[in-house]
Amino acid sequence: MREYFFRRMKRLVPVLLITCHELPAADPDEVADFCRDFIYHGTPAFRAVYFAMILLLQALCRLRRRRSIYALRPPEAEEFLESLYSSRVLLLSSVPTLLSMPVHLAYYGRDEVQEALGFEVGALREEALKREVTR
Amino acid sequence: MIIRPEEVSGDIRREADVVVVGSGAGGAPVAKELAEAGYRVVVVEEGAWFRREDFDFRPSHALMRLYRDAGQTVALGLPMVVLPQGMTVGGTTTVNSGTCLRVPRHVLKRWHMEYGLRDITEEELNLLYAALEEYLFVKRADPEVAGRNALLFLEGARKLGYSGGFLPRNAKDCEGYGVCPYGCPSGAKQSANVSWIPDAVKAGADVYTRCRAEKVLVRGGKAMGIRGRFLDQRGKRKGYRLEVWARVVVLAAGALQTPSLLIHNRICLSSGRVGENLSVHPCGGTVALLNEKTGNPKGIPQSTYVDEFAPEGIMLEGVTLPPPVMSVSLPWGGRRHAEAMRLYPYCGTFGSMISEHDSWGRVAAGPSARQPLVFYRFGPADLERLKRSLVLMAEIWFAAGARRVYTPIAGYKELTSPRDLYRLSRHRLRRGEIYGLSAYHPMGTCCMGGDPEWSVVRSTGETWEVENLYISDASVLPTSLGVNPQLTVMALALRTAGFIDERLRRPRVPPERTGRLAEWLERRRSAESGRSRAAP
Repeated sequence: MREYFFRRMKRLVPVLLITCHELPAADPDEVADFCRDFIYHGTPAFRAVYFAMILLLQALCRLRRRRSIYALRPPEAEEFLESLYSSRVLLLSSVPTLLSMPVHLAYYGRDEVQEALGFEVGALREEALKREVTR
Repeated sequence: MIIRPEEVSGDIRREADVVVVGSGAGGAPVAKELAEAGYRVVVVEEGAWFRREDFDFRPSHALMRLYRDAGQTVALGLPMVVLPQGMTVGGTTTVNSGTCLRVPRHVLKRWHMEYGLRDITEEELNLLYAALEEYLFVKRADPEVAGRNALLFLEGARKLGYSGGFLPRNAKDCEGYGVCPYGCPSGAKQSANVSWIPDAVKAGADVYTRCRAEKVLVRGGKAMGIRGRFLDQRGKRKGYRLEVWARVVVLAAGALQTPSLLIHNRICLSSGRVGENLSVHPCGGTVALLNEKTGNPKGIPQSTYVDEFAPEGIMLEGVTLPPPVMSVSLPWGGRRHAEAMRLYPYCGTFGSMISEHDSWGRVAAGPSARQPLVFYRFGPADLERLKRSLVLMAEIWFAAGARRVYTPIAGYKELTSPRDLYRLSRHRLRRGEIYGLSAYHPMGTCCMGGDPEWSVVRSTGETWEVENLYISDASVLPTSLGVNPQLTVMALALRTAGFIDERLRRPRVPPERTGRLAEWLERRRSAESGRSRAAP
C-alpha cells in the first residue's frame, strides 16, 4: 500500500517541481527519496493526509480534465496545478501546497541550489568547523 | 556520561536520587543544579545527542533529526497550526533562535492576582534571571552580525516612528551563520546541549539518549521512578528497557508531552486541568521583495524586534529563512514559486508573534503517549490581531523600500502598494483564508496555581496529587507570556531545583497533603459517589 503511494509520489515530482533555468536541474529520484524519508519520519496523521492528497489530486484531475494527471502535457499539468494553487477554497489550494512541501524542501535543500541562490553553505560549513566557541 | 542506545547491552535497572524526563529548558537546569549539589541524577531524553560538528546547515536534515515528527506536529482546528518542537538533547533550546526575554510585569501580576502565585516574587525572579543571563552569556544582538535583513526592517520601523531594537540572546561570540533553528554549527548559541547538559554530566549526571519514558512509577501516592524504552534509529521502541527508581521524579518533556504522559499514566487528573489551558504564540510571516540584496539568511535569524504594538499583544520579531525553508513558506507554487525563489537574494523576511485573547487549545490522549492529540481553535479577535500584525509588517517593509510584500492570506498573497494594505486592513479575515500558520512556545497544560481544584502543580513545581513528582517545563506557566519563554522556564526550573534540594535534604510530609488537599480530595470523592448513586 505504502509502496503504491511512493511510486505515485515519484511520478508527481516533475509535475510539482518547477524550477527556473538558472538553477541546477532537479533529480526526481533524489527528491522522491527525500520525500519518502521525510514522510516516514513524520506523524502517521501527516502520512495519511499526504497519501489522501495524492488520491484527491488524481481525482480532481480526472474530474476537471477528464484525464489522469500523469497523462497531461507539462503546460497542461502546470495550468491545472496553478488553478488549484490560486483557489480560494482552502481544501483545494492545500492539495498542491502540501504535496509540494517535501519536494521543495528536498530540491532547495541541495547545496548547489542554495549556493546558486547566494547562500554559500559549503564555505560556511568549513568556516564553522574551524571556529569552535567554548564556554 | 551521555549514553546512546548502541552502548547499552541489556535491560537497565538502576537507582538515583532524581530522574529527569527531558533535557530542554526545564529539565537541563534541574539536572545540572542537583548534580552539582551532589545528588545522583539521571536524565532520560527521547531525542538523540548531536555535537556541533553534526549540524550541517541543512534544514531538511535538521527537521528529521532534531525535531519531533520531522517538524510536522500539528494542532487540529481551522486553520491547522504547525507546532514545531525540538526533540534532541537540549530540547527546543537546540533549535530555537536563542531569544532571552524576562516575563513582562503585567503577566507576573496576573499570576499573583488570578492564580495565587504570590510567592513567585519579582525580586526572586530578577535574581534568577540575572544569574541565568550571566551563565548563558545573554546580551543584545550585535548589530554587526544582525544581518542586512533585520537592519532594513528596523530602518523601516524607525521611519514610521515605531519603537524597536536588538533582542537579547544567549550567544557568545556569535558569527551569525543564520541557521540557529537547525543547530548552531559553531557552538556559539548557549542552548542546553552546550551549557546545562555538559555541566550536569561534568558533575556526574547520566543522560540516556533516544530513550522514551513511558511509565511513571507511583506507589502509595508517591512517585518512585520511571520506566522507559530505548529507541532505534527510526524512533521505534525496539530497544532495551530502562527502569530508574528515584526519590524524586521531574517531568520536563514539554507542554505537549508532559500532559500526555500524565494522561496515559492516569495520574494527577482529579483537577481535570491536565492537558487543558494550552496557550501558544501564533506566528505570521511576511516576505518582502526589495531592491537590494539582503544577504539572507546570513546574520542572526532573530536579532531585532519592534515592540510598538506589544500593548495590543503583537510583537514583531526577526526571522531569516534559508532557501529550503523559504521555499515552503511562499504562498504559492508552480511557475510563480520558481520565479519568487529566483529572487531569493532580494527577499527580506520578518515574523510576528501574538499573545492570545480569545483562542483556546488543549492536549488530549492520542493513540499513544508520544502522540497526543492537540486541538487549537483561533478566536476571531486573535485572528484579527494576526491579520493586523501582517498589515503592520507589510507597512514597515514598504517604508523600508519593498517593491512587493507576500502574505499568507488568500486573496492578498501579493501586496504591491499602500492601497493593497488598506484593502487588507479592511478585509474581515475568515479562518479558512490563512495559509501555512505556525505557532511556537506551547504553555499552560499542567498549570501552576494556588489551589488543587484548578491547577496541577503548586508554586514549588510539585504536583498536588503525587508526592515527589515535579513538573519543570513550559506546561506549568499559567498564562501565555507574550514573549519567548525559555528564560522564564529556566528561572522556574532553578527555583524548582531549590525546592527539590530542600525536600531531599529534609524528607517530610508537606502540610498540604495532610490538610487542605486531603480535605479537598475527600470532598470530591464523596461528591462523585453521590452522583453515581443518583444515576439510575
